[in-house]
Amino acid sequence: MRPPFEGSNNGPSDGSNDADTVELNREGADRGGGAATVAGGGADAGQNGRAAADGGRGASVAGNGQRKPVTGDRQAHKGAVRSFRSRRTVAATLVAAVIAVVTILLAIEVISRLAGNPLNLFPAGDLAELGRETQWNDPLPVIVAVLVGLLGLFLLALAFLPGRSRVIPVDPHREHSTLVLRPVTVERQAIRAAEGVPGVDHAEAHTRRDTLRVRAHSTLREPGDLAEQVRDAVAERVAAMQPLRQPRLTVDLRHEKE
Amino acid sequence: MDRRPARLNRTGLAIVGALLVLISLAALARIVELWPDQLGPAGTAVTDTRARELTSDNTWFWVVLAIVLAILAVLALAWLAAQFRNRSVSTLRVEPDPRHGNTTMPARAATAALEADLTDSPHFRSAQASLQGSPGRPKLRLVATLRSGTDYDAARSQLNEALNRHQQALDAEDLPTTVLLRATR
Repeated sequence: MRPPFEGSNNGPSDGSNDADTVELNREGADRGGGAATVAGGGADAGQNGRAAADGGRGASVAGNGQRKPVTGDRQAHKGAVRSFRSRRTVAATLVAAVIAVVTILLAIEVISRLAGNPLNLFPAGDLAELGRETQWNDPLPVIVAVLVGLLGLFLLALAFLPGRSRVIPVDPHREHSTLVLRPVTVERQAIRAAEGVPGVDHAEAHTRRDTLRVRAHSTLREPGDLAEQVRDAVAERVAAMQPLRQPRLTVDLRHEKE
Repeated sequence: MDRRPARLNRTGLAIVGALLVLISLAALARIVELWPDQLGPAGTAVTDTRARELTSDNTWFWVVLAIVLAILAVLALAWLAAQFRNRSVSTLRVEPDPRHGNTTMPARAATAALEADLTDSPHFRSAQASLQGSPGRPKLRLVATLRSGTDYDAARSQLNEALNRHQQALDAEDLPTTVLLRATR
């Protein structure tokens, strides 16, 4: 069983409407469990505690208190994320289909004309007349050239930008294995953890990039350290899932009328 | 996971995108008369006399055009077909050393057993397993969906146990495995 997170609060926090920002640090992470230090800032999110460095896997801590994965974890994380990046299947299917249809129809038209029996699949006469009557510096060629260029740039962007991965790699506990979760899986675990804290009526969670945002709703008029409890519960739950890169956790406690 | 479809798609999109950009730049260069001696003036028709002479008086132009269009059509159809190709391995080579003979088994038999192992447990709602790569060097890809409200840690343990049994059955302890865990509402 993994030891609970230790937390420390810097700055004021009444837990009612403050967004408490927590950065998870993982010290001495190994498969047998590891201690972790949670640094939290209430209204002053700039003050973060710093965990001791050099845990069981030689984890180091960045200046902002966030754990930097060691080489093996980083490679595993990068490999897992890369393998689930977008394959651009939709764009490729559309482009290939359009090219196939247009080239097939054009080829049929050209061959039929060479054979002396034109099928007239395209209004060749109208297009030829349009070409004779339109000059290069007319608006139509300019518009078409710009649109074609923009489409080309868009396709180049699709080709060279990596695309979103939409998975969260976790420690598979197995050799030769990669285990990833959908962000919604982590979000639901975070919601269950938050709603398991007495005083929390319901909660929502959203993942965006490397940040997990949890919003807990409570009807307690004096929540006390409820925000801290929610933060600890969610942090422990997420850490138990053993992501290769700990997400940055933001907890927002909202008061609701009964 | 097999990244060849991604590389093919990105290469195809890059080629088409680059061609469109080049065509656009050439047209814009003519419109602004960047190289009037080479491209011609902007105040002339899009299909000028030179273009009409090329297309109307030369049968070879249309023959070459038909050939080029046919080649492009074949390439586009091949690219399209690649999107729907099933990259799963259909048979597994059980005997790694060909000097001892060649023993194969349907890959579906192996993956179906793993899927059944997982879906028989109370933690998993569904599981889809496939073997990709080659018959001699397969890679296991598994998508497992957790049941709503199930214990995550217990599900992870169950998953590892099922994978261990699967690898022992195939005598492939070093089988590369990629698992995607999903959750339902």
